[in-house]
Amino acid sequence: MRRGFELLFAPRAFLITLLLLPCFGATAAEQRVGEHLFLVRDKPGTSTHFQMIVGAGCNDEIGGECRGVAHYLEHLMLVGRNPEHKEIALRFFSDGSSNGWTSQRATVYVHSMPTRENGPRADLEKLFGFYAARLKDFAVSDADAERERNVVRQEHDWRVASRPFVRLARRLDRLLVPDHPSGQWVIGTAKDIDGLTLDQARAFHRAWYVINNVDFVIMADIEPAALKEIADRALAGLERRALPPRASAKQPTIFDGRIDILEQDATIQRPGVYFKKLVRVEEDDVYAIGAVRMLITNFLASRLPGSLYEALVDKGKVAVGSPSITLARVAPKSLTLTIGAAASPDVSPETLLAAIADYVNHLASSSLSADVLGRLKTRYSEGQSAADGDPRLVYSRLVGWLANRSRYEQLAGFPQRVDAVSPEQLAPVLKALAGPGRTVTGTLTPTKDSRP
Amino acid sequence: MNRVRRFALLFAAAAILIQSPPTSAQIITHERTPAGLAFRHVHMPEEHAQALYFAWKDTTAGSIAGKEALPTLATALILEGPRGMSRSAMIEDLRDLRATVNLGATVDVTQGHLVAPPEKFADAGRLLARTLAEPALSTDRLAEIAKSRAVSSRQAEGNPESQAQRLLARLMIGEGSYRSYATTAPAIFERVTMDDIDRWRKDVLVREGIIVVAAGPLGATEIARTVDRLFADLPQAGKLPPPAKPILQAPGKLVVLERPVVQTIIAAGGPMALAVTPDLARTQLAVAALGGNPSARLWKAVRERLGAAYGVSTSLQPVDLETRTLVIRTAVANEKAKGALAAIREEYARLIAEGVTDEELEALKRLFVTSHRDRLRRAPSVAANVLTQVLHHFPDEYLASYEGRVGRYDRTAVNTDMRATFPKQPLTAVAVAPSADGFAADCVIRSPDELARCD
Repeated sequence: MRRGFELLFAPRAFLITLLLLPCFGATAAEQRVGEHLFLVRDKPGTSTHFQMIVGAGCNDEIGGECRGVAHYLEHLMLVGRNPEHKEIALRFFSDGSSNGWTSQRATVYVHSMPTRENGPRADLEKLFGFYAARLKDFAVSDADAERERNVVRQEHDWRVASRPFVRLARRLDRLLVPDHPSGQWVIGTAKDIDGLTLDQARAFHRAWYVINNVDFVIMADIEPAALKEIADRALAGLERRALPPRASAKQPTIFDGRIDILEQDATIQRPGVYFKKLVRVEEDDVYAIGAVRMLITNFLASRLPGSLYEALVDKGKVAVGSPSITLARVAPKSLTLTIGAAASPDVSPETLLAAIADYVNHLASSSLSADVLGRLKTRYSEGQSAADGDPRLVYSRLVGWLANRSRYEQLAGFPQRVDAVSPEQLAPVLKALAGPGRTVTGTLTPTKDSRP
Repeated sequence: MNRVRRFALLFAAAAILIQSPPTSAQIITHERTPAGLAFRHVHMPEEHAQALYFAWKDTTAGSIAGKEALPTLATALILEGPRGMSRSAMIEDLRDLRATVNLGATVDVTQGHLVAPPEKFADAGRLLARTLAEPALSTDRLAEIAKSRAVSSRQAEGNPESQAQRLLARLMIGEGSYRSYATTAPAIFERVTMDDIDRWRKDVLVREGIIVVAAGPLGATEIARTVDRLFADLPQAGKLPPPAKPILQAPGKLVVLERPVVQTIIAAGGPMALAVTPDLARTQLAVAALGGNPSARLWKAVRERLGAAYGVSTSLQPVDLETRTLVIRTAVANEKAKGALAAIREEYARLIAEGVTDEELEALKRLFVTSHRDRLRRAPSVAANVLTQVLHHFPDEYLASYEGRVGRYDRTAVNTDMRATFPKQPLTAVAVAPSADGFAADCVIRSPDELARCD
């Protein structure tokens, strides 16, 4: 009888276990292991990923001037040779990868390592130990610092100076927002970079590289308690400090009016235009407005009825390819809309620019129908549900959220905010985009000699 | 064994089954649809997306002079959507389905894919089937696409990086269709007619020779229905031109194109003497040791020692399915360009002479294995990789045996392979620079059109 019970029960137990395990194991939601420590648990046999997010970027540089100091410091951290390690951080894991990136709001250090026979503990101890030390100070020789400044200059010349449309975009951003660091670019100008000093980097480090201003996000096959123990031990001696006031917290002035810039370049064959607009929006709830902004961006970047693509390409035939769209919150109550587009053959850039301005000026709640709003919300919701089961998507979503300096507590509820967006909530933002504000446009055309 | 213990063991077994690492081999089964089309199937029950990749070998672009852009334009035109539906409406319907479809062409392969959540896979398949069976094929749209591609090609010519790469390709690939294709000559987009496209569809998009690979949570029976919906009604066979092989050359010269540039662009390389076999990774290990990541030799030489560049890349670039060239590329400070080029040559010579070290090799082997495991985690990547192995006639166990094969490569094998396959010295090199002074160039030009006199 007992044996009979076991034979009957055992396969069921096996099946029940199979059914139950995904409920516990397959969902990839992150766990908050400590105040600034997050774990996305991955399967055994997978690689380990580590990111340290410093809640300061170029917007937080001294005097409210973004000159590339935060980015330069990121380079120095990764190539400096400190007393406790002989190899530069970029080469900590010759069988993995290490890198960093800087935005206007954050500086992020990224490492990934292959699976190890004994698990990820040793790699994580090394990284937490390294960054605990780097939150105190960093070492780099004058020669290495100078060489790395040259490297940053080459990065600038490769990413910006060699590309006519990118150069123009940077010029326009400063004209759009002349009195706020968000009008400047993270990498700085060539002149800024040539003037960067180690002292400036050290001052930025002292101000912002503080334990209460960093988050650690790890994706690995490790028990949460083990991760917490590694992090706590490494970070134990670090003191919390008050952070300086953030220059980016002020609102940029909106000088109503329009500036049009025309440039020519011999390497250009196809004329292109930028349309940029800075507007003010009320925001009682930053996250609710964030949901509205995301849906409007998705609408503008789509080919749905009423979209910019429909107006410029499908119906207007004035642009080729997909226009680029960004709608960014650059400061409290301040949004910038940027549209970039390439002119159709035989269409003048002036005609294209006029079509874009006309489209923006007529944005209203009627632009985005209830049917379209429903489609956009369904897509977002289904996409989020699918992402929830994928540790890598959960990991990148969390890093993106924290690097934007959004509050972690608001992350889980964001899909509900998106789902709750109504046409009435869209209306004031669309009206603001269509209404008064500062507009800057840029047109880049071939020189007479270079025209086909 | 008591009940609790037995239960615990069963629980553990189930847990191991579910938590099995991505290293576990993906099993490829050979299936056939009711309409008789063969396809390979990889069942990945935990995956969230179903992927279907398909390809035809296509000799058109490499063999018919003047028609190098035919497969590129034909696939782009088909993707404009089916009759009675705009491209925008099709794209938005696919977004609603969270599906992606693609159809594109290299010089000798026409390839496409369909990826969608399993519950929407059949609907997305219907949309792609309509697109393939009843493409709108508007003549006006063909003219627009051709013109747009030609303008894009000319615009790319203005970019010094593209220019350097095209000049290098022009030096390494002999005159003919492969050179026109590799250098994206604007004129190739202006010679394709709608009649060409009609004929191409009948000759290339056929049942015979099609390679189909499915990976994801759906079973073979359900996949078979979509495969038949997509391909069962295609013509049985078509007439392809006889294949032509690319002519590769290694002039070993340094050509400098003088023009005003913010940075000097260096592109250097040469033809590889290799056959694409399951042991390609052995060659790729040596390529990785040469350049790219911060542990690689060129990165240390050009960025770390000279501070001359932000990065330097080294890659094996396909000329066709079976042929590769080694290409090194970097954008460097003008005043350090000569030093950077010298450093590239020195590091290359040293690698060939001294070989990859054990330390380099073991780290790279672990890196390759990790990348391979990552590639096997997602259905689209698995399908794409299986498709590639089928195109190369690799055995079914290629992906499953990859880790073991890489693990067995030792320093002697890698270095012997490298010396046999890497380009002979001196490498052929192009620099796009403000001035040729001090480069000791074999040929200095002021326009790409002058390159012929460097032969």
